[in-house]
Amino acid sequence: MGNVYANRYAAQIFAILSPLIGELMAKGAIRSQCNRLGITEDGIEKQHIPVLAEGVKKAMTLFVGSEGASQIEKRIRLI
Amino acid sequence: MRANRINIVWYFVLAIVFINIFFYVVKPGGEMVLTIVSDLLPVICSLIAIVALWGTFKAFKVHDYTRIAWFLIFVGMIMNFLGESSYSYQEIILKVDLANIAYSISDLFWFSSYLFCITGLSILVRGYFKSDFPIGNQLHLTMVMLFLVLLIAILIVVLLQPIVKDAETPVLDKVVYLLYPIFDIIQVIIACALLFIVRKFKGGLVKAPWRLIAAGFLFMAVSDIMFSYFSWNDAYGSGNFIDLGWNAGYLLIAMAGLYQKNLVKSLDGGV
Repeated sequence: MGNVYANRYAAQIFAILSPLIGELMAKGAIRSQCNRLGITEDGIEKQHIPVLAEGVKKAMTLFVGSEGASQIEKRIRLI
Repeated sequence: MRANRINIVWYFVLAIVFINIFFYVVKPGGEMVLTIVSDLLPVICSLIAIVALWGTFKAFKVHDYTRIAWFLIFVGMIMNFLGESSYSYQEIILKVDLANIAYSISDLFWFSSYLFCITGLSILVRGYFKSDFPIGNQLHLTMVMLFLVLLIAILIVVLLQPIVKDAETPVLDKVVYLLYPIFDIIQVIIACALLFIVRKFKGGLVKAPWRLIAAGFLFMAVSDIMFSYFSWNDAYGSGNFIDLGWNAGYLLIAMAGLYQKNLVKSLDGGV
């Protein structure tokens, strides 16, 4: 898996999500969460992480249930 | 369940399919044994699906819509098991000639199964379209929709119209004959929607359960549609290769449950 993001937060979220949903959808998920915040992937900063983590949790609930999605949210919040 | 354990389960599934093919091709013991095997294998396969899906349901700790969706599919498999068991009982023990009866108690279980499974699968598809995940290429989506419209049109002409137009068949019998292909068409549409969604999750762990459950229901729906066509034309008999689609369908759904359980367990306390 190559480093697809210059932004370290985006790269770390990508590293968490891509084993679960694949590289293509991990990029898509990060992009759509950033769009909701009105920022680009390169513009992610520390203060965006809680909102991004919450958004990812909501989306991932479908695949892994609320508990699994909460674990993913916690991983992202720890970045 | 570790990867090597799931591989063992795959070998077990392949062994069942192989046994199924062996009995249909070689027919050891003649037609009587073939009838018993073709009646009992779906019972065994649906029971395997129940056990696997129960594990999946238990793996989800929080009672959210994902857990509800898998629970409904689990209940649907129980209904299928009851349908298969009652069908076997009637044919093997009571010696009822089910080929010449329009409906029996088994049909009630199978119809219930459709309702549970279709609702469960719809929750998953609806959940995806409500999530923030991208829908994907609009052209591909349009092509899939056109394919499905064409498929439905063909099925209506080939399967539904002859049943509707038949003047000799009683109305209730017609309703039973019509309900199966209608439910199957809905099931095919939902399974295709799931396959359309999962193709974008290449390399992701979430892909396996969704792909397997979609394939499982697709196998079952295609077998059902073929069964409806052949039985309406009096060309279906016990030990038909169509049965393989149902058995493979149940087993693929069981595997979907195991992969989903593994995925959920892998995230347990995984911070």
